[in-house]
Amino acid sequence: MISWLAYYDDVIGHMFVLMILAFSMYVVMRVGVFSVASIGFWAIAGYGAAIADQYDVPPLLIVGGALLVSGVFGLLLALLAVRLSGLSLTMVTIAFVLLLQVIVLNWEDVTGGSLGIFGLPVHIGTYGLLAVVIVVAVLLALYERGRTGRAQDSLLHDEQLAQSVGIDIRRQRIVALTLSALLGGLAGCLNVFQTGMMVSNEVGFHVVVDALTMVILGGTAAWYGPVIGAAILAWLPQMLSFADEWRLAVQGVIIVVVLVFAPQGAAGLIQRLARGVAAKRRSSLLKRREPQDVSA
Amino acid sequence: MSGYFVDAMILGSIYALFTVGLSLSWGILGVLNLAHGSIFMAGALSAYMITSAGALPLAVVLPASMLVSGGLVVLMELVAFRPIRRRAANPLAAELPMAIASVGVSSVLVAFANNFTAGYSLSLPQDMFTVSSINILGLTITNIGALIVVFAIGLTVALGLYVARSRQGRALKVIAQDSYVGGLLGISMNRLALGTMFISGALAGCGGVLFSIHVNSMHAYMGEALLLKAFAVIVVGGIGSIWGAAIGAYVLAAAEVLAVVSVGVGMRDVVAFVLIIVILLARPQGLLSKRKWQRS
Repeated sequence: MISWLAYYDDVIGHMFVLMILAFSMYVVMRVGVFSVASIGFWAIAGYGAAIADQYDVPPLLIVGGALLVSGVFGLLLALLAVRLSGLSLTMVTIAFVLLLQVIVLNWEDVTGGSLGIFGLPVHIGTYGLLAVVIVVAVLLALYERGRTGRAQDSLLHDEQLAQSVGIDIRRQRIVALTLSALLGGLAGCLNVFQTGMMVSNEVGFHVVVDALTMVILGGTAAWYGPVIGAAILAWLPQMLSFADEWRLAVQGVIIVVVLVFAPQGAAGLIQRLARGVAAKRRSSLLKRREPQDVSA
Repeated sequence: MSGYFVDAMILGSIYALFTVGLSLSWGILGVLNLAHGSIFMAGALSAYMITSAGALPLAVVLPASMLVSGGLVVLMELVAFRPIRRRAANPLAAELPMAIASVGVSSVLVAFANNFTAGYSLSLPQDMFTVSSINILGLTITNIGALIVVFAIGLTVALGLYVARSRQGRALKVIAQDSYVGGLLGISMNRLALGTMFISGALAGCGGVLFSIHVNSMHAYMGEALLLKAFAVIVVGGIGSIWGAAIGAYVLAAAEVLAVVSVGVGMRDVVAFVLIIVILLARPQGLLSKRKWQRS
C-alpha cells in the first residue's frame, strides 16, 4: 500500500488539484450557467504564481495574491456576465479564455511563450493538497446546506419558480461566478505549486475539455459529483492501455455519451440509487406492519 | 493603401464564411456549436486526405470537402443534439447541454486531426490549385484571395435570399420563434435542423479549404482562433442574422487591419475581445440585433 502510494504520488496529487478545478466549474454549473471562466482564472493564477515564484515570494503570500486577483477579476467578469443570458454568457467566458491564450503565447518575456515557465520549487505535497481538498469540500457541503446553497439549488431546477419565491437570480449568479473564480484561481496556483511549472498548454482547449469531462461525468447534483469526476479523470491515462494522444477523443466521447444517456452524471445516479434504496426500505417496513394492523 | 483594403476584404470573407453558419444554427436552433472551429479544420483536413489519395482539381475537392464537413455537423445533430433536445423539458433547457456536447465532439475531431498530422502543420498540394497574382480594377490580389471573396459574398447572398424568400426560409423563422407552434403548423423541426446544420458545416468547410490554400498551411487547432473572431462578429451582427454576420465580418476585419496598421501586430486579436466587451456593456442584445421575433 505504502509503495503503491509512493509510486502514484504525482497522479494522486494531480487528482486533488483537479478536484478543486472541478469544484470551480461545479459551483457555477449549479446555478444553470455554462461558464469556462474557471480555466481563465486557473491560467491567470497559475502564471501569476509561477512568475512570483521566480522572485522567491513566500508561497502563502502567492496564494493570497492569487485569491485576491481572481476574486476581483471574477467579480468584474460576473458583473458583466450577469447582464447576459444563456449562451451569450457562455460566449463571453469562452472569449475570455481565448484572449488569455493569445496573450500567453505572444507575451513571451513574461509568460515564456509556448515553452512556459519551468524549474520552480515544489511547495506542496500530496498530503497538503488532500488537506486543502477536504477543507474546500467541507466548506462547499456546508454552503450547499445553507441558505445560499439551497437558493442556488432551486435555480437549477426551475428558474421561474425560484424567481417567484423571491430568489434573486442575478445576485446568486454573481455569487456563484465569483466563488468559481476564487476556486479556479486556487486550483491554478496549487497546480504550479505541485508540478513546479506552468506551460501554455494549461490555457488551452484541452484544459477546457478536462474540466468539462469532470463536471459532466461527476454531475452537479451534489458536492461529491466533481470529486468523482476528478478521480476518474486523473486515473484515465492509467486505465487506458492505449497511447496518450487519443485521450482527448476518449474524453470527448465520454462528454457526449454522459450528456445524452445520463445527464445527471455520477452524483445524480448515486442520489437516485439512494432514493430508490430509501423507498424500498420504507415499503418493506410498511409490509412488515401490515399483518400487525390486520391482527389488531 | 489598396493592399490593406485587399487584406481586409479577404480576412472579412473568411470571417463571413465561418460565422454565417455559426450564427444561423445559434439563432434558429439554439445550438452554440463550439465545434465549428473543428469543422472548419475538418474541411481543410478532408481536402488534404482527398488529394493525398489522388491528384484532383479544386473544383472537385472543394465540393467534396464541403460535403464532408456538412456531413459531420449532420452527424453531430443526429448523435448529440437531437437526443438532448428530445430529452430536455423545454428548448431553452437544451441549449447548455448542446453547447457542452459540441465541445466533446470538437475534442474528438481535434484528437483525430492531431494524430493524423502528428502535431505538424500540413499544406495542401500545389497542383490542386496554383496560386498566382491577378489584377482586378487596379487592385493586386492573389487568385485564391479573389476566389475567397467571391465565394463568401456569393454564398452569403444566396443563403440570405433563400432564408428571406423561400418557403423553407420562412419555416426557419417560425421555428426560431417557437418550435412547438412550428410543429402545429406542420413544420418538421428535425428536418429543418438537419438542413440548417448541413449548410452551416458546409460553409465552414468551404472557408477551411480556401483559407488553408490562402495561408498555405493547416493544423489541428486552426479553427480555434477563429471562434473568438466569430463571437465578435455575432455580437456586432446580432444572433441568427445572416446579413448581420456578413456586415459584422467585414467590420471586424477592417477594424483589425486598421489596428495592425496604426498600433501593431500584437493588437490584432485584442480588437475582437474589446469589441465584444464594449458592445455587450452598451447593448447586451448586440449592435444590429432586433427583438427575437424579428430575427433571421
